Order: sequence, then structure tokens, then C-alpha cells
Amino acid sequence: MLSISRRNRNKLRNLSYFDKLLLLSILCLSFTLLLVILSVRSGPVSINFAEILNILINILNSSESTIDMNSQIILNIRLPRIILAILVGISLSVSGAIMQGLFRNPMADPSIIGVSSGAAVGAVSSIALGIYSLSLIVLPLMAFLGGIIAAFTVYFISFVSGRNSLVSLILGGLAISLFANSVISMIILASSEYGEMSSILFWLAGGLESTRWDHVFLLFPIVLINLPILIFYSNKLNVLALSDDSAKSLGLNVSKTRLILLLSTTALTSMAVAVSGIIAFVGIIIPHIVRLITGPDNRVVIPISALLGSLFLVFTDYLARTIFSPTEIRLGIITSLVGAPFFIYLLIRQRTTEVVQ
Amino acid sequence: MSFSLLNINYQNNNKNILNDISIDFTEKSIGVLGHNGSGKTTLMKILSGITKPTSGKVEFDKKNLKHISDLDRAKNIGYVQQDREYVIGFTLYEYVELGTFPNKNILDFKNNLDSKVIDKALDIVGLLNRKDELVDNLSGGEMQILRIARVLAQNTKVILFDEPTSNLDLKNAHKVSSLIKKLNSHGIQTIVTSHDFRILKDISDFLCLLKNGVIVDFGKTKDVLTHENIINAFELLPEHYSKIDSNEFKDL
Repeated sequence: MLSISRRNRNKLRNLSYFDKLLLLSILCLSFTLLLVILSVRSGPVSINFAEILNILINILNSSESTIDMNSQIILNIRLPRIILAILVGISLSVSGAIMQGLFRNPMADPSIIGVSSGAAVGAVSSIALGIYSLSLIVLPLMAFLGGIIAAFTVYFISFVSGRNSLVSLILGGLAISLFANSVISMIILASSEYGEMSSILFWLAGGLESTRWDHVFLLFPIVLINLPILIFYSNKLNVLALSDDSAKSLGLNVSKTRLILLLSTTALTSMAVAVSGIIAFVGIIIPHIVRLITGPDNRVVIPISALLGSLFLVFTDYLARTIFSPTEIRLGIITSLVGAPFFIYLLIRQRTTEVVQ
Repeated sequence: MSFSLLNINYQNNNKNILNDISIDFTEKSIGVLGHNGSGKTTLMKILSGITKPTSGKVEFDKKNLKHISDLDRAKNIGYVQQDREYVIGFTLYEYVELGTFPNKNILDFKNNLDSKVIDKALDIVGLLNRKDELVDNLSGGEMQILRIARVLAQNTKVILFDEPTSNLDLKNAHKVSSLIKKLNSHGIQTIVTSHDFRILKDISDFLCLLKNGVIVDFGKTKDVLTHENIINAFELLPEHYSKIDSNEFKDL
């Protein structure tokens, strides 16, 4: 059984990267489309397919006043939420895939190495300081600042202060996350208003339940700019799997490539955290599944992770909305429930291969 | 293809690693012999262009290496470096494919050109029939041979080898040295460092003797490999060199 599945995997692995891309994109996109349709339909209020189509067709020729209850639900609640799920899925899984290559470490992920927590501290501080109401852009900007500080700290721990080992990266990330979480707790304890407190709690276990179109408009341009950059750099990321000297002798400007990748993934992660809170482990689950199917070529892994990541988040958000409907489960809680055991499994497997080596 | 070094100095933490080195490397098969810490690796890194000398000039094919772009440099100079990276999860084919990076054509969606180059590289080192296996299962010696295949896929005129046979057992060391000679016969210039004159005696037609960052001798291998030169370059005491079989020099 195992040998059969391995042979089939090799068959797919031996396809040219273009064929792999084509095949898997079509597969992911069709499943995502199905899930989106299912997701738009379901919720506390069930709306049938014909009516959804009708609502979508009528967007253009209906004025604000004539919009009924069901179109409100579809256009202003479910649709932005599903689109945001897609964008967050792309951001987190691509960031994870890039960070694993960047740190030469299969366990790297924005939530595990502390970038997500750093971004959350930035976001929360802007609320606590009251500056978030100045402009829509203040909170995401603070999130990016927090994320970039965390990212460079981890980068320093992992490259500058000695050898880049699995343990130092994960322990460094853990230290940053714990530090960030205690800062957030401190801010919560210091805040007197209940409303402020509960809005801060949102960043500890993220979710999409309060999505508005504003959130979509914030994340969309960041994805639009960074995703093509990262796909363009995926070939260079392949070479980073080798030692720095080997990568340099292949003509790669190693430090410039690292800097661009680090900034770009931090921007993606921080903005995703700013609009949806910390949704952990997506960046580790998705790229690992993709690599298992396609092999390590990042020219395939990056775009397919983007597609599978959005599929995964649309699916988990659908579960979050519907399992205990009308009560919702936080999306971040579901991904952690799935992700933590997966992470432990990878860690054990990683240790055994290290021992064998 | 030729290297020309002019007054190369390299300092690290105020310590002189290379001292005023001026030499032309035009021969097809060159060895660099020296004790541990004599500056062999630094010399190779400077030749490969990944390390810039503190002062002095390196010319490759009459052009200043400093003014050749990273990618153009990588199309001409291959470098099998000494530090061994652990790469897991790649098949042999996928690993060797990394070597095609400088010559990659983004419009070659089907990898037609690349796969020919990769298969040829794997064929030369004798690993073509195992190309779908994972590198995780290779022994240290096989991995070193695969690393050479990766640099072959880079399709360069020159390949630098830094201590290619250290850490290898006799059989694999022999495989690597006959591979290097095979590359010479394919018209590729090779520059090989080692601290072991027995290896270089086999591989290289010309030999450069390095001691404390200074070139003490350069010429035909049989002229450079004299008893006196070895004793001087490695600072051997009588109790050391009494252990070296003097027959090793006779057949030179």
C-alpha cells in the first residue's frame, strides 16, 4: 500500500513544474469555488442559490434603500468574510512556505517564530494608546512595526548569534511570543473599559466574525503587491536551501534576497493579523502538505500553498460558522486545534531524521 | 579560461590570511597544497568571487572579477565548497536541478533544456539510475559526488574543489579524484585544494604550494613535490617525516 502511494507520488513529482502548477491549480480552484458557493448559502439564515444569483446580478441596478435583509446578509456579511478568508489564507500559508525556506527550517511559521504575536502587540498598542481612531491605516501600520521588530529579532537569533538550528529558532520564537502575549495581557489588565478589553482579546485568538469590506480593502493591496514578488523570488528561494556560500557561488545575492523575503512576508503576516487576529499554524500545515505532494520546488510550492491555504481557510471558517450554529467558534481556535498536533507530529519526525543523520 | 591574481591580500580580524599573492592559473589541472590554516579555502573563495580580497585584483579571462555580475560569474565558475549542507526532502534530480539556477530560462516551462543538462550531469558522476531517490538516504561519499553533479549542471568552464576528498573513505576518495580527472578530459579547468599531497599527486598536473598565506612554489607537480618542499611547507620534524614512505616520492 505504502509503496503504491509512493510510486504515485513520484509520478506527480516527475512532472515538469508547469504541469504540476496547472494540474494542482485547477484542482484547488474548483474545490474553493464549490466551498465558496456552499459557504455563501449557509449560516443562521439559509438563502437558496437562485436568490444569491439574483442578489449578485442586482448589485449594479439596486440603490441603497431598496436592499433587503437577505442581500444585506450576502453582500455585507458573508461575501466580505469569505473573500477575507481567501486573502488571509494566501497571506499566512505563503508566509509560512517562504519562512521555512528563508530560515532553512521546516518548522518555521509566522505564528511559531513570533511574527504574528509581534504584529498583535503593535495592533493592540494602537488601541490602548487610542491612536487607532486617527486613521484606518494606523492599526495595520503599528501591526507591521510590531511584526518587523519580532522578525528581525528572530532573524538575529537564528543567523547572527551563531548556528541556525531548529532549537534556537523555535525557542527564540517562543520567547518572543511569550513576551508579546504578556505585553498584551498587561494592556488588557490596564484597560478599564469592557469594550476595549474584548476588542483586544480578539487578537489573541483570531477570527473573521467581525469582517467588514474595510478589512478586505486593507489586505487586498498588500496581497496584490507581495504575492507576485514572492512568486518571482521562489526560484531564488530554492537556491537558499544550500549553504550561503553555495548559493553565492550560484550567483545569488543572498543578503538582498533574504531582506526582501523577510520584509515581504512580514508585511503579509502583519496585515493578516491586523484584520483577523492571530490564526496560528496555517503557515506550517499548508506548505507541508503541498511539499508532500509536489516535492520541494518552491516555484510550485509557493503558488499552490496560496491556493490550498485559501481553500483551507474558507473551509475552516465555514466550520467555525456552522458547527454550533448560530453560535460561532473562533477560527483561530480551530486552526490551533488542528495545527498543534500536526506541529508535534512534524517535530517528532524531524527529530528522528536528525538522529538518523 | 584563466585566473590572474595580482597582489592579493586578505585580512580577517587583523590577521593576515593571504599575503601579497600574485600568480597566474592558466593550466587545465591545478592543485593547491597546504597545511590546515594555510589559506587554501580563502584563496578558493576569492577565486570563486564570493569573497572579496582586502586588496589586490583578480582577473578572470582578462576581465576584473569585481566587474562581472553575480550571474555571469556563476555561469563561468563553479565551486564545490568544503562546508557540507544538509538538504533533506529533495530527490537526486531535484537537488542537481539547483545547479541550473544561473542558466535558468523562465520561459522554459517544460524544463526541457534543464532536464537534458541535469541527466547529463548525473550520468557523468554515475548516479543517473538513482535520480528519483531521496538525497536523505545518501552516504557522505555519495552526497559529495552528488554535490559535484550539481556544480556540473551549472555548466561552467572552471570548477573549484575545496578539499573534495577529506572525510571520504578510500573508495569514495578515489571515485572523486578520477571524476576530477574525467572533467579535465572534458575540457573543464579544475583547481583542487588539499592538505594531502598523495591525493594531489594523482589529480593535478600543476601544483601550487601554500604556507601561511604565501605561495612558496608553483610548477609541474613532480617538480614541486620534493621531500624538502613538503618538509618545509608542513613544518615537519624528523620524527614526522620518518613515517612518510620515501617510496612515495620515487615514482614522481
